[in-house]
Amino acid sequence: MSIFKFKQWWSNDTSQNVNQNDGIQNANCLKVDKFNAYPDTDCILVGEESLLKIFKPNIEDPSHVLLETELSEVVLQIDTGKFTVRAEDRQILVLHPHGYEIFHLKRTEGHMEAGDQNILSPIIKHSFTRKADSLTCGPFGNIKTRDLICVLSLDGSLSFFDQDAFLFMCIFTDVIIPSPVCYIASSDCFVICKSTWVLEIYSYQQLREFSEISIRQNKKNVPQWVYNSGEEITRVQVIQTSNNFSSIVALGERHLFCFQDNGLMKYMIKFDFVAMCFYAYLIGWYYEPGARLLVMVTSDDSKLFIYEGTTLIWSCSLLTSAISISRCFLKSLPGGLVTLSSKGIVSVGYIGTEPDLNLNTPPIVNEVSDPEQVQDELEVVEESLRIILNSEDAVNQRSVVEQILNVKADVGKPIQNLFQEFTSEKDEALHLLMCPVVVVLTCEDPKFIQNVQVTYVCASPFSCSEPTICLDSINGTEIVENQVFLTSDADITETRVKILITVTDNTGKVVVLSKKVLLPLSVYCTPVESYAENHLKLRIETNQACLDLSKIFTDFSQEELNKFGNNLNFVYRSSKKCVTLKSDGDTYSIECEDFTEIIAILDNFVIRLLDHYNRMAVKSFRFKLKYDKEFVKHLTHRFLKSVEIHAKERIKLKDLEDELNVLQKQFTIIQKKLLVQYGSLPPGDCEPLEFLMKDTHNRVIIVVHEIIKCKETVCRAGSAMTAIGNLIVLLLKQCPKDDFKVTLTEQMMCLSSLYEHYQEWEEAVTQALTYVLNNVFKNSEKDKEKLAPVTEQGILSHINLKRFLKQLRLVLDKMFSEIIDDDTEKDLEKVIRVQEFVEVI
Amino acid sequence: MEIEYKILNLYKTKQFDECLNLCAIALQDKSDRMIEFIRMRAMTIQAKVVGNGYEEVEYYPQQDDLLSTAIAKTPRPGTSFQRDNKTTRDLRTAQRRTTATVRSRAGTNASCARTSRTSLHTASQMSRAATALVAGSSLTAGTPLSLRFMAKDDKLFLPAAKTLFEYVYYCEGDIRKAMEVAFQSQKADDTMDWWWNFSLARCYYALGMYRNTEDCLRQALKLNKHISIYLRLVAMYVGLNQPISALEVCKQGLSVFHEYSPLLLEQARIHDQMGNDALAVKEYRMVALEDPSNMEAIANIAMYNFYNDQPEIALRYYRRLLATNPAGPEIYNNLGLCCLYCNQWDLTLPCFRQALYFSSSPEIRSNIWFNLAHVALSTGDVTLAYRCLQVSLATDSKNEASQHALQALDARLRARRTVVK
Repeated sequence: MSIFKFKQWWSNDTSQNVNQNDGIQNANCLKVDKFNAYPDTDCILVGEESLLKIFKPNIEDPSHVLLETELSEVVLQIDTGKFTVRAEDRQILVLHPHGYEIFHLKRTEGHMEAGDQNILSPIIKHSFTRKADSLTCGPFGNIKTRDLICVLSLDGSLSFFDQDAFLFMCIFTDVIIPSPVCYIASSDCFVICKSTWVLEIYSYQQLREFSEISIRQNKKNVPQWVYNSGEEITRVQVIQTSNNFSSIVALGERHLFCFQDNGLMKYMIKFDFVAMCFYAYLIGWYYEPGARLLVMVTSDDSKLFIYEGTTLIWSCSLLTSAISISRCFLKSLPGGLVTLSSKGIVSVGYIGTEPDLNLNTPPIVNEVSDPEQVQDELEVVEESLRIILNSEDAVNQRSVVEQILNVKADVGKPIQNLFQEFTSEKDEALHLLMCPVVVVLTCEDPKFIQNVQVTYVCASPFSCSEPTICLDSINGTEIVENQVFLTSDADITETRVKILITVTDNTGKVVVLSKKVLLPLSVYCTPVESYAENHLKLRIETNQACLDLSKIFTDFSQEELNKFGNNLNFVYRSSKKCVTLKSDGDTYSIECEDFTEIIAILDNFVIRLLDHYNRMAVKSFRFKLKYDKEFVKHLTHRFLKSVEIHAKERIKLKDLEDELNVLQKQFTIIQKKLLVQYGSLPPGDCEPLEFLMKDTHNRVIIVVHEIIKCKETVCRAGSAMTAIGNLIVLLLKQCPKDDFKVTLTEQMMCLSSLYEHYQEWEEAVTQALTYVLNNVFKNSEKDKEKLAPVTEQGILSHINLKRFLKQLRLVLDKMFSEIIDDDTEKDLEKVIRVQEFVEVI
Repeated sequence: MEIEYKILNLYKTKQFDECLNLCAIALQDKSDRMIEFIRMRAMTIQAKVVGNGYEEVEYYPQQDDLLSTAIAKTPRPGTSFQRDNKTTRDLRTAQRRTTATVRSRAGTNASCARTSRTSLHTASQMSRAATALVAGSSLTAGTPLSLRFMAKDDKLFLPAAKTLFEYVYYCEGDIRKAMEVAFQSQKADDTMDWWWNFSLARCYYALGMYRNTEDCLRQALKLNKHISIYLRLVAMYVGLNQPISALEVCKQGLSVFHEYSPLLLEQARIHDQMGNDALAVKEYRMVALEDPSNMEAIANIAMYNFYNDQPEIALRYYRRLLATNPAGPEIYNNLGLCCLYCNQWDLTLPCFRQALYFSSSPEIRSNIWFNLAHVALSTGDVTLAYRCLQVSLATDSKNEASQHALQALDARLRARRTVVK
């Protein structure tokens, strides 16, 4: 965050043990103070495990270690002060888990060049039983002659000592993890941090009384003042900032609080980093009015921030992360910074002002390049891009793939799946008859092809076991088998299965090949004997004599069909409806009850017929579908009817879905309210809400069941619509007068878009329909206006649906009328010719 | 040295990984309440850091519900972030291109401005903290289970309650249970504690119950004027799309904490989002004075200068950002654009190259390529611009600006060709 760096001046890095254990270094074990033995410079005291070290840092003289002594116990904290009466020098207080020791640093002049000798002479040693955590010392109770000692033990109790005498002890019950304790000299108070994350300030007097009260009676001791910091306080420092007042600086997890010792909050800083430690210091003297209180804070990513109030006045990066920081005044470095790292390394340095401007900027990647060369390269790339993107190439590509990859698709004989026979009762074994569809892929050059994906597309009532199969590599010949079966009792709309083969070649280009496979009739039909009178008739005139029907429908054995002679009755396995096929002379005819049933048989029949003549190598075979005006009228009517049914069902479904939406939201709200009720104090009355919740749940279940049912109905209506639509398209195609219009109509109706689940067919068709009607069929202006969908309402709204149907009727009428007119005109012409002929004679 | 002192040392010096390891060892053969709690705290703090528990301001997308929170569905003009955007698609093509350029750059700039936050501020859900911790190895078999063993009439319940609450909230991610702890301790403690109100507000917020959140926060604010409460209130109002209320809270907070940068920053962000650029930049400047290392403020000031036709000044700000912050694609991208507008041609392309070198996400790459197209256009190389736009779209096909620009360029090229013919 800053361009500045901490400049290291001295460090004990080299003299430090290499293999250090974690957690040895205590953050309280750094103290900087001045002793009479060395009056001109600060000494740095560091405790590490049971070692006590005293440094006098300098860079000229190699003897910067004054003393290094191994104490009997672990050092928890080092402090300095005058702990005995009439002490002249600052004494060193070392806290151990079970006691404390007070030393005096002595210096004796050395003989010859050996230098000075430093001795720590013990003065007082005192032990106690409770395990200590930290201490604070000072002239408690305003005793001027010496400093008293207050030790915080691990269980949170405070013990007070005077020299080597135990004074009293206070026990706090609300401390789990010991938090810092600090003494405020100016008001003779203690800052005590609790596990309730509250700062409490007690006067020394109070604590002394408290210790006696707590033994006798359970009276509550009210602190002088408290501050609820709301987070664990990790460090506290008290610093005198004026003649009468001290400032208390406390560091929490993310905040730094600064108070006056009377409880007035001075400021609060929120950090966006993890603060490790801080050190507050004054610039100037506290008895001067212009003294500035500065706080330096180190972060876990080893940055140093210096704040005055809430304003950041300096920041720089430390070289190592520091767990403790302090200031020192050395002889050759007045105003240095002492840091202690978690590995026990002490460094002294100063804040440098030499900015390193490109501290974290990696060198820019900027190799010099010749513009002409770059231009040439660019042109080459452009050229190759142009070649690749050329559209003619794509066709070549396709043929190449077709050459390399040989695709064969075929159907097998339907197999009764006995394995699952008893699983479902309702759809009595519709799906049990499975028809295997096999794709054989043969690849001559496997390296040319990266991967192949085979996708089966089945129209609505049909479904297949595994719609998409991916092959990562083709090695020679691959055989993909898939089962196709019926899933519902809807009308059959398409008798062919489309197989899409998506090939990715080695350059990453994608080519799609497609194949269509005719499903055998026996998958969805069975021949029956019963004969009912059918009023719908569609004749197929051919220019060849009629064949024996059993020769055409090779799915069934000849004997099976021969029984029925020239009249074949088929019953759909799905819808249980009957279709009759007759042959008479050169005309076949299909008879049935409803238009929905024609297409499947017709389609199948026509394909087989053509196939048959192809095999017989009869090239002159032609056929023609014959129907009258009445037929067309009924057909159109029936189609529009089916569209209407489909739309109505969709509206119903939408209503149900809306209802479910509302119910779901209601359910969530009730749940939330209930949660609040459960959680509130005291728990509220939940019964009405529970009743509501259960009721809503039931309703949700009912609606969902209805939706499932409705969806099936919609799908069935869609199938019926598609079946009739396909028939219409087929009839239109028979008369290739205006290819363009026929294709347009087919595309417009986009019947293939209805698959699997219901789609928004009406919405899709409306757009195209309006366009086709206005631009191709040249609708009159008046009609245009009259039939344009109302924009502010949905397509499924009553008025729009009406207009939609009208438009559809218009288009169909026009298409059919062109065909039929054509026929009648020809007839008329013939008649006229004949008359003319007669006249000539 | 005894292990408990080691644990304490590690805990106090915030070396939590090592601390947790030692805790696991120490708790294997004996149970110690203090160590158990230290372990709980250490895990909580780690989870908090990972899950942005310290970030008071997290803008969640507003949840749509039929909730009882009183959200005005049709806000009065000027009181909402959702300004009407009435640009239709039938604008003239040339116009469209220029607007696209501007908008895209704004996008990259904004993402730059937010990076200081995103590092700590990736779409955080409350429960994420817990999952993140589970993913880390710090959890050894069996989490501390003090919660189960502590009866609510235990005399240690109150001192432990806050630790337990945070542990349950952040580590276990169980908001319901955390609320239970909060309710029980509120019942046990007769004094009012703002922290519980504040924490309950956090719970309610996570549950999406804004009205309760507001109540709790307001109560907490009565008890203690803590900065976190103000920030949370602001965040909540911003989340509810009530910028005026949020600004009001900012004002209140600033009357307590004078010139306090987090609040100023929030205020600036709100003004920025509402489109009061001049006001926002004034506040960003105040933030930068208070906290000169604040990246977001500097980036926004730079962006303001850039759009104010002062690319030279923007360039200086960006260079400062580059010197003080880890280099990223956004800074280089913006530097490149400034160089372009300052006519420092020799530096433009290297800057963009550097930006591409640093960019990792396809959106940013796409934007950089879009800007490169702009550079190419300004040199008059239409083919290169065309290619750049194509690369931009290839890296991120959803880049609307590039789509529009390509369309416009295509139309222009076609028009030129017809003229030539």
